[in-house]
Amino acid sequence: MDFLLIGGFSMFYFFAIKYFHTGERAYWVYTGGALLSWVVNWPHFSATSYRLYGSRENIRQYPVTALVVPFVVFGMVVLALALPDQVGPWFVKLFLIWSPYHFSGQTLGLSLLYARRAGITFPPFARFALSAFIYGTYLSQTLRAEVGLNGFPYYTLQVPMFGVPMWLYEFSLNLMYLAAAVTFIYYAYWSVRNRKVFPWIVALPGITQYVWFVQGGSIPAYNEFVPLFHSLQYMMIAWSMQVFESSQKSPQVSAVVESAKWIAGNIFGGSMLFYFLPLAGAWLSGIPISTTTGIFIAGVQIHHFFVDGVIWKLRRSSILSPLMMSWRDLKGPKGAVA
Amino acid sequence: MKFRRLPPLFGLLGLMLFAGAADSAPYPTPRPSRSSLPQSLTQSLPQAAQERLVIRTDSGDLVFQLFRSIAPKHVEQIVKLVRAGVMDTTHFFRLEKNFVLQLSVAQERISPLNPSQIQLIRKIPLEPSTVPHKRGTLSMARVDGDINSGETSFSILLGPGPHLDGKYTVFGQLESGWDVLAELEKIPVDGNKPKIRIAANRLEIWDAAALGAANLRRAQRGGALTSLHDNQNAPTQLVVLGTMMFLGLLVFFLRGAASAQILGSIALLVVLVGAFGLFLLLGPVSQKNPWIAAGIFIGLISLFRLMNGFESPGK
Repeated sequence: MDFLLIGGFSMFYFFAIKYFHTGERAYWVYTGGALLSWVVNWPHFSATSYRLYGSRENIRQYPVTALVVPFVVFGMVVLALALPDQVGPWFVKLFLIWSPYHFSGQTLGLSLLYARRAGITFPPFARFALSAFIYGTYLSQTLRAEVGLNGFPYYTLQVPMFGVPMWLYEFSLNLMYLAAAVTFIYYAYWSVRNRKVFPWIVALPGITQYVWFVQGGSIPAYNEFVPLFHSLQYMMIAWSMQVFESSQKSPQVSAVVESAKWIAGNIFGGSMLFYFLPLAGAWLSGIPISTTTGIFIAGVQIHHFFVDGVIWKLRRSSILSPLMMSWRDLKGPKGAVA
Repeated sequence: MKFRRLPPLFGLLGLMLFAGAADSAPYPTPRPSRSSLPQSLTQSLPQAAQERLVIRTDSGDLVFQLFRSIAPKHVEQIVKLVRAGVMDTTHFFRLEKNFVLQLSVAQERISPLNPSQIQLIRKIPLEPSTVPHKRGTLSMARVDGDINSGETSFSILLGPGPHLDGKYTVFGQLESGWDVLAELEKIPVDGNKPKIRIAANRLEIWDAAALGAANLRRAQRGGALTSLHDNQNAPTQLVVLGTMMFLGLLVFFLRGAASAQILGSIALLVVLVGAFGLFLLLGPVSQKNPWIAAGIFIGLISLFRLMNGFESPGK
């Protein structure tokens, strides 16, 4: 299950699209994507917020993120709504460049999490190489997307491009491959030294991101679903933690009932953030909802980057312990879900 | 409840995966959309490309359809030049009422062209068509006697020009801004030279759908479709925002002397707001200079990296 949700599904889908589809952003791609945003992507944002705002203790630990950041981000949203042609596109641009950086943080975090579970401690140079490889996939592909000057529409906002020099992209791509080579040489060295195969699950998140951004980045029918895969990674962890915590508090509560409540709550929360909030924004500002949707998506996601940055730092053993378990552990005698 | 009763949930997750969902891809691809023009405007005109050429003048904006189907090389070249900022700060140097309003060559613009912009300029061969020259037509200018010498200067027809048909490349048609064109035509002339400078402050390429939405916003709000690039107070704002960012950084790096977590986080927020302000001001400029673009990009990555320390417990 870890393999499938961390990267397996996205790789199967990549091979299917690569070899059995034109790669075009066909009707089924964007309609399916749009419809299922309601049940996967949007709930992922709601689930993150729920983890922070779900208890007073969490809010007390991170008061600036919980209580100040929303106002700052809301101020940016208001500015973008007030000047939708001047500020709006650049606000969206900020989010679009930040978003895959945020993906990279999660990828590195997952790699280190699985390494810790496997009892592996990376020496500094290997950790640096792994980090450079993961962030290199982000950096190179973001630069590739900024080489031209062709803007692109995003929910009726005309988002500009920087026009960075081509050599910068090529340089970053070569650095990424260099970092990948060092990383995999270290994996091989570890295998020889310990006389066993390096745990593939530790390497999987990095390889997965390479497929997401580098191999699949220029395939529209694949690119469309990368946020979904990222959301699935998070949902897997957040769901397991939710069920674990709930079972710790009330062992008699059914895991299925708890899961259903959690899923339903997050679908509702996601709808509030990505549908009803832009709707209200359009009603209050008089701006078309297509435009407010683009601006609110950027705002909600920037807020999410902050929240996601602290929820894993919460000083509670109930967070650390499920993170250190695999799905097998959770359903086994050690886990509380069983 | 036993864990084995959970497989239906896995099934649901699987279904979600294969049907897929994305509110926004990290590297979004342009989403195709078609403009919906009144039939009266599109009659006898070739199919318009998705792009729109916007010329911003002191009197208002002129918005043109571009005809890739009949003049692909011209449209390609104009789009490339405009996106590289080659045509900004040029001016209309020729005004003949009921006939033509002609834009100067790019070399005559106020800001000197940089080497990479100069490299983009090249001659384009004539692309003749049966589309007639009429009011609002975009027609490529060229040197007399050389039909393949079009470069950067082009004309907006102010009346019919049947003698030009087939001899000059038609590559676009005015879509909106007829009132602006009428205003420009009223400017007094000395011979065929306007007595005041008719500035083409900025030329832009927009996606038709995005432009439509922007115009709708403008109509609803009664505001002008201007860009930050035109902001005359930019230097002042640059200093204020830069100072804000500097102070924020100072507080952040000195946070050990105070209540680290909260002070440091608020300082980072100041940095973020300052950086966003700088981003707003420098973003449009970056499109003219790849080095500034690279600098902003690296600055953004550093900002994100800095934000990793947000609400860290501190020392």
